[in-house]
Amino acid sequence: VKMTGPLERVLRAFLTDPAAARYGYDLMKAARLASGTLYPMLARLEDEGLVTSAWETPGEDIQRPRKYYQLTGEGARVARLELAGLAHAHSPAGGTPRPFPRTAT
Amino acid sequence: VSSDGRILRLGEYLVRCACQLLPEPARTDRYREWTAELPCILNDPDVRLGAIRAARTLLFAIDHIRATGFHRIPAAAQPKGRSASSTRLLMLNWIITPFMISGSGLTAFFVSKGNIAVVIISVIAAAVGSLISALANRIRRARQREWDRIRASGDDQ
Repeated sequence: VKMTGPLERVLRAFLTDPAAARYGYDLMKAARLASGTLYPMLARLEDEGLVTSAWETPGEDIQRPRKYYQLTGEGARVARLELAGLAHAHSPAGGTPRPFPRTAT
Repeated sequence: VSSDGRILRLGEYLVRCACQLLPEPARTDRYREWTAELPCILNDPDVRLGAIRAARTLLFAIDHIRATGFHRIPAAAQPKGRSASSTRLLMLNWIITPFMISGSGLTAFFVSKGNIAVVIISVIAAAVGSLISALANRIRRARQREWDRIRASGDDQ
């Protein structure tokens, strides 16, 4: 998984409740992403087996069933690892060391 | 038809346009999925103003057009040799648009005998028309660029 800013936000939204199934608009609001950014990303995550999708069961009050997305076990593990890696990289102690300051000679 | 109904219909139309740009097997599923979200956005209880809900509903659909316009599409569906002509069309569009908008406003002013509401509506209609035309042109150009890139890399063989 190539980690990008939008992907990070989507994974964080999923990880607020990893067992919950979320629909697209819910994720759009949580991750603050546009539809054209979110849905291709969900499709990629699904192709990679990190997310599964299922259609809502049609009922009397549900005229148009929605599609729900949920993190798989592997998806939750990868998301936690990637986000932990990011947090480590951004922390002052971890990540790429700062270049040594040059001194005048 | 209520205004909500009109917004939904327009949203569905835009989603249909977006889905036309997708590969055939994905179209039906995506259309079902995206149109199912439209009523939820339009009735989102977290957004108070109806106008904002309507705008968000349409933006949801329009952004799908933007995104699907950049998808790779099969060679058989690709028009050929349009790069230069689409550029000329775009330049022409930028020249014509201001004349078209002001012209429609003036025409509406004379036809309606100075009715400001009619003038405003006609100017907005002309502006929206120009915007859609510019958006469609931009999508075409993006698809052409993508097609040129695929042809250059030879990965369609």
